[in-house]
Formats: sequence, C-alpha cells, structure tokens
Amino acid sequence: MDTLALAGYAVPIAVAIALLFVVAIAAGTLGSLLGLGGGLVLVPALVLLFNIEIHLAVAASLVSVIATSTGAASVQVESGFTNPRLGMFLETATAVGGLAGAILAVTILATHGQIVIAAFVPVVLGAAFYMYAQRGRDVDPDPPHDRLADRLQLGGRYPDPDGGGTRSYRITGTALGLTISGLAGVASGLLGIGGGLFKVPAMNSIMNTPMRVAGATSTFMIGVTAAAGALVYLFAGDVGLLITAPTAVGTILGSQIGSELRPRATTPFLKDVFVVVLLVAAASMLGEVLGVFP
Amino acid sequence: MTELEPLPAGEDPAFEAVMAKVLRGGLYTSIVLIIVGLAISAVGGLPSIDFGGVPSVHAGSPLGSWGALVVFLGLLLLVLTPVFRVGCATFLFARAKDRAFTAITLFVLVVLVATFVVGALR
Repeated sequence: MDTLALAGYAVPIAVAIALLFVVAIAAGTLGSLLGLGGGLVLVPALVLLFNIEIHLAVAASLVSVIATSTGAASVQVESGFTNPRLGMFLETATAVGGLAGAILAVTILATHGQIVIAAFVPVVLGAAFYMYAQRGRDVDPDPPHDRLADRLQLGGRYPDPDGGGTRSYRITGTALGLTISGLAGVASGLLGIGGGLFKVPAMNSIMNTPMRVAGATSTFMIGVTAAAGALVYLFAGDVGLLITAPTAVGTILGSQIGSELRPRATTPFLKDVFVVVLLVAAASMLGEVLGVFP
Repeated sequence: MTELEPLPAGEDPAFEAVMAKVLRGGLYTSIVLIIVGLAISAVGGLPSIDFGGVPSVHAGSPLGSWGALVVFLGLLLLVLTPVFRVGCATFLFARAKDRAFTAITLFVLVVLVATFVVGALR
C-alpha cells in the first residue's frame, strides 16, 4: 500500500485520508457555527498531513469553504437564522473586495507579501479586543436609524432559542459595515483567509446583527466570496482530487453538525470561541511574517 | 389594531424555501458524484480515457481517470452552487418587483464573473 511521510513516519494513505476527514468535520462544524470558512484549520492540516505545497492546500480549502457554506446555508436559511437580504447586500462589497484582492494578489503580493499580511494583524487583534470587550452584549433594541438599511429593509427576525417565538432586530451602520465587508473580500481574495473573521464582528458590533444571525449570515455569504477563486483553481488543475474529495465531504458533514448546534450556542459562548479563533489567526499570521513556518 | 407589515422578498418563507432547495440540490448531487467517482476509482474497473482539456483530472491525482472525471464534476457543481443561488435570487427578486435587490444580486453576479476572468488570466 502507498504510504506518506507524516511527521517523519510512513503512514498509509488511507490513514492520512481518514485523519483528514476527521479534521474536515471539525473545521466544518467550527466554520458553520462561527461564520468562518474553516481554512484556518484546513490549510495547516493539509500541509502537515500531506506535505503538499501551500497553494494546493489553499485550493482544497477554498472548495471546502464552499462546501461548509452551502451545507450550512441549506439548513440555516430555512431555520430563520440567516438574513438573506443582509447577506446579499453585503455580498456586493465582499465581491468587489474579492476582485480587488485577486488583482492585488498578482501585483503586490508577489513582492510585498510579508508587509500585506503584517498590515492585517492589527486589524485581527483589534477585532478580538473589541469583541472581548463587548462579550456580554448582543444587540441594541433601538439603534440609531440608518436610511439605507431602513429603505432596503435589511432588518429581520430570528427564532428565539430561549423563550420560543421570534425576536426582531434593526440594522444600522451600513456605510462602515460595507467598508469592512469590502476589506474582508480583499483579505480573502488576497490571502485566502476567510472574510468571516472581519465580517462577523462588523455585523454584530457595528451593524447591530445578533451574534447567531451574524454567524449564519456570514456562512451564507462565504460560498459566494470563495466561488470565483475556487473555479480558477479547479480549472488550473490545482485542486488535488484525492485530498479535496474527503475534505469537502467531511466539511459538509461538519456544517450539518454546526447548524444543529446553532440554536443551542449562547451569544457569550460564540463570542468567546470567536475571540480565541481571532487570536490564533493573528498568531499564525505573525508567524508567517516572521518566517516561523516554512 | 395595526396590521403586521408584509415580509420583504428574501425574508419570506417561500423565498427561503427556494434558496434552501437550490442549495440542497447542488449539495446532494455533488456529494453523490464525489462518492460515486471515488468508488469508480477504488474499483478501477473502467478503461482509462484521455481528457486533454481538463487538466485537474490528471494533475497530482492518482485516481483512475473515469473516477477522477466524476469527482471533478462533483466538485465543479459544488463550487457553482453558490453562484446558482445568487442567480436564483436575482430571478426571485425580479419576480417580486424588488428593483433594488434585483440590481444588487445582478451586480454580485457581474463582479463574480469579472473575478473569475481576472483569476483565469493570471
């Protein structure tokens, strides 16, 4: 049987694929619950397990991000946690950001990659501190009126897991929300990191979206952000089928688990986990800048 | 007594049901294709064929080529599903005469195509 070198040991390919499948389930669960793609977990796992080049890992991860998004959204749109109007409104900014990121990736990333990544570190840390400072708070029952949000009817209602019935919320801060979503698109087009890291804090803290809705809506959007990039990789032949197939199926399973957990996850719990993920992301970006990772 | 405001398109259950159906349809079909493709490769019973135009089927893949083609089609469908979802939303918003959101979703589609073109030209 074929073997792979895994952390210095020869491991049968079947075992490595089984391990990858388990990691993918975890990534899909975490990603769909928090509104992230899961690339943060998958890319290092793929590189370590299969010793493949980073761009092949990113390609497999992009396909799996779409799997997570589609898997979770197929459940959460109907369960009422996703706000499709808000999601599609913000998709305009993430799509433009993604296009800008794709252009920048060809131009500056090749020469100034370290600086670009370093520039995002304070943003990620800022989001972590901001979210931690507001961990006890979810939404303002009567936020300032935002003309665009009111006109486009971006607010919504979602099932109340505690009391039964539904709770409604009003959206505000569309200008800043669009700007940050655009930046999130740039980050994902440029670095391949999920824009959810920026979108979820912005939707919750700035746009007054309940944390559970922000996570579900971000998951809904992420598939669209990743689609163009994934298609490019797929046709360029950079999507390794043997690693991507189990990763995609695993993340789909995980996304179903995450969707099941959503009504039960409290806002402070979601925020705590999100803060940890943001800190891990900042650390891994710093590590990349400082050249700790190969 | 005040009447409840009608829900805007995108928040109503009928819209959500169509979105969910599109997403689930794409998802389930792609899972079936991926698993069938892997099974064909595992059995290895089909003769190999040459897919000159689809490099991914060969690149870095130890799968037999028939199975690889089916897995590739499954992954392609998976990747296209969110794009179909945006297209369906455009149609539904247009039917509901929600002009702002018809424009918003059309804009997203155009930018997606442009991003794919930029990426493909690289």
